[in-house]
Amino acid sequence: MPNRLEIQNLRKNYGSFTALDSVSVILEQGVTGLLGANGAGKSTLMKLMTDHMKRTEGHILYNGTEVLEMGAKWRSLIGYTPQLQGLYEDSSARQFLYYMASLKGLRRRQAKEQTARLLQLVNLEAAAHRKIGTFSGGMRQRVLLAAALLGDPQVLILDEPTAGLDPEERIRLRNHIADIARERIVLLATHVVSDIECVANSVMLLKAGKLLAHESPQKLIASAQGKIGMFYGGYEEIRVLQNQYPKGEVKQNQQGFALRIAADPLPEGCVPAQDVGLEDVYRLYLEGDHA
Amino acid sequence: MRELQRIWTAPKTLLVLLLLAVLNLAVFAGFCRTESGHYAEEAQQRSEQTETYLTSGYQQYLSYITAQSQAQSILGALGKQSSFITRNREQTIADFKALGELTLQSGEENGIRTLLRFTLTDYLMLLAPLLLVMELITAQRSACGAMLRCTKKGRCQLMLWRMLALFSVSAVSVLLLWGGNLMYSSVFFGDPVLDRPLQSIMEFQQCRFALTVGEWFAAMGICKLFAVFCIALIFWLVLSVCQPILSVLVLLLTVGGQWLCYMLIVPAVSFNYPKFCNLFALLDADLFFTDYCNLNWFSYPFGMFESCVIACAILLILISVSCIVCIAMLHPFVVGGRVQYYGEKLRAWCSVRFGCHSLFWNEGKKLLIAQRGLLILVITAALGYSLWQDLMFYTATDYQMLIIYEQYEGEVTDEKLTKIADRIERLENNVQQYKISVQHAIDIGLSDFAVAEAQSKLAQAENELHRYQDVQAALLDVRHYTEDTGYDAWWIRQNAYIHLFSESAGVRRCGMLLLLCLVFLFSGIGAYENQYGANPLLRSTKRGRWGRNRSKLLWIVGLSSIAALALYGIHALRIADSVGFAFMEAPMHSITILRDLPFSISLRSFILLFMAARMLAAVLFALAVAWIGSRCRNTQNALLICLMIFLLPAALCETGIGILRPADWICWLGLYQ
Repeated sequence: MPNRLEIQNLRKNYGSFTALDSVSVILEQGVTGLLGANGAGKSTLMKLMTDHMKRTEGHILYNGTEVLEMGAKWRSLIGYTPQLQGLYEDSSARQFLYYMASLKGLRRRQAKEQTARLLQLVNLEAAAHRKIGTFSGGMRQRVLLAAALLGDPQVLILDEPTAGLDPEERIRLRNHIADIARERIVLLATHVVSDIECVANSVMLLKAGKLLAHESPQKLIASAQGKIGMFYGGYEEIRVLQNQYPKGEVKQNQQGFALRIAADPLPEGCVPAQDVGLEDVYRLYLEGDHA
Repeated sequence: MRELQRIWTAPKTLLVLLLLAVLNLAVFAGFCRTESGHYAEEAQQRSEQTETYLTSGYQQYLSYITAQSQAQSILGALGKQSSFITRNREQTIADFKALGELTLQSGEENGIRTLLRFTLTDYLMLLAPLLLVMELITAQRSACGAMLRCTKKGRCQLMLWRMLALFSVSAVSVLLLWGGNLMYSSVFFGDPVLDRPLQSIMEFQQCRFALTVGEWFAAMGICKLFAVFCIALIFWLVLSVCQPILSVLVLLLTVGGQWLCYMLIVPAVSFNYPKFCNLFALLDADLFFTDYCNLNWFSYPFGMFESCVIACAILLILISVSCIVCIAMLHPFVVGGRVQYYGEKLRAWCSVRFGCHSLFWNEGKKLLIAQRGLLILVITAALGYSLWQDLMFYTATDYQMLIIYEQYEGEVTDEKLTKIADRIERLENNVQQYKISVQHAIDIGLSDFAVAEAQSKLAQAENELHRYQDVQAALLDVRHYTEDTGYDAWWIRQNAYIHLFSESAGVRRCGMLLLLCLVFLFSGIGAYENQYGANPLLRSTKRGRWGRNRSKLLWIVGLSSIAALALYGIHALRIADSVGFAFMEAPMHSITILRDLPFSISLRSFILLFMAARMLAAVLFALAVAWIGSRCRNTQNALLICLMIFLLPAALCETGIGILRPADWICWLGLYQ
């Protein structure tokens, strides 16, 4: 039976502040990208999914069963990488993975085998004996990913897993996520669009706790056609325009300067862009004037 | 200046100093109470000795020195013996000649004797500066440290300010702790009369310095300050420039080695320089004022105090300059890569071979290794052993009483009552006879000696009679108690049981040690995950909630029970060794302080129940500590808050502030409330 995770009217309030506002979505096998600016509610959604936080309202159903009722069984099915790298700095990478394996209920032999395999997968075999406190940010992220993959989880909840990784490592990680996502539900939260545009089957757009859209990348890009435009001109001209469109991106080419903006409708003098991408979708829905 | 301000306005600095001061005072107060008991026992003898010493003893000693022309000269290894002996003789005469003019004065001296015997303060003084050193090293290594180094005043100037801050923290630490001891001993024992010569106290007979008592206090404080500062600088330098494994080895060699030399080398050996030219000699400083010894420096006698001061001054200058150069001026560097490399290889091999454990053992590893629980247990064991050495219990029972106990101790039977009544009757008759004899001796005009002899026999007989009458009264009291209440009771020696069940200085020390052990061990057990922000990750796993908490709970219950059993067990075993528990099969109501309890079991069972209850109290206390600690953001805050809540009231109670009794956790742990 294919995995299916259904989120129904999920809400989280902190006093009078609504961090997540009635989010409903169905996640199936494959990678679902979760795009949103800082403070949009991505981490809150993930913490609710891992039951680290008490929800105000709503349901999360895994294959039809409420995850709160599943309890430890649900937690044995998930792998989670938090945004803040919560690692024991006094532990070595190997010791930390052994510890995580014991928490996931793996037997000793399984733990050893999977730890060895995952350390190789994330390219940390040589540094496995070193204390995590001596690791760079990227290395810590790889430890977290290895920890999430222990126990062969069915649902992967990855909160900015590529933060701190260099481009080569990012590509490696993306490819690996794409591989493992074939038989799993993977929810990948990020505000780096390139992380998901190649691997995501669908993308959720989250803004101020509200779910704006949940579509395939192609549909989202199609919806942005005609709403992304370019202003061409000299440097001073562009600088003046930038005051009106502060979130626009200034680019330089052989002809001069161009200001790329996302707006609906596009202002006069603006030429619609032909090469619309997911980055533009992000700017349009999550940063621009379009709501 | 801002650096000084930053360090001194940090709540942690002030809190640590406050806690150390209170803890030190509490332990010292307990020590004073214990020592005052010993002083009371020898008061008469001491008083006589002191009087003799003040009137003629000291002058005789000076005459002896001059006459014999021999002090405690030590044959050194660096020079010819004969020339050293001659020079030493002359030096000794010169040193003590000036002291002949001193006018000794009597005064309270038990406080000073207690100060000399109490050595824990010297080590507690080191804690605050060492904690500051750890903070400074963390700051050096952080991203903020790199930022500060690239500013105009961020190297040498900042370093100098930090050294000044370290010096000031050392000074305040010495002032609070050493000064606190001084003030408390003055309050507890009485005014030591600060303006009298130091030699007025017998322990300072061999002191060659013409100091007053007040000047001695100041001199000790200054010596301790410089020793503390120097040790802190050594830690700072070594931890800054060495890899962790190498720094442990270097510190063990340098600081640890000095401590061992100071503790183990006997002054009389020929190569005794490491004992005196030693930071711990300066830290302790007692030896310079209670002993006389000249070291052989190339056939020239040089006082041990001067030798130590010069050696430590040279060391201080070298370490200070090294700190400034290595930490501030040069680019950051770390030595010991090879040692670290092999250490890590070993760790890697161990973790592959032995690293994979169940959740229970992983939690145990976290508690004992990562959170230094094993170190805490080892220190507790060492302090417990020292407590074992110190705890003494006495029972003043003479031979005659022992015979009485042998005959009548135990169950109060009719036979015993009849026997003692007969005995008393016979003794009464004896007393009567002796009275008649005395009267007769006086009447017939026998010599004074004969009369006195008769009176002496009468007195002995009367004493014996009173003794048996007291025992009879006690036996009857037990019999009446049994008849009135229905609870069975025996007549037995109660000293041991009263020691065991009552509050005393000794058992409070056990309780204080247990309290400290539990707070240091468990305050960080929950805060450790908070510190690293690991909770969201751990809680998202199958066993990351109840499974993890259950493992922690098992460790808390296990270790706290063992600690309570061991520490209170020391107390009980010492009583058993010194006094002995008589008639453990007797009913518990045989002990007067247990008569209010509404149930009756044997004393053996009651002791087991009592110890079990103490273990339970320790477990509950440990759980409370762990719970409070888990609410804190990091382990340091957790420790400080738990010490504030649990240690401070107990420590203040120890110093005599009775109003805090309800919050005296030592009483709750020992079940005295």
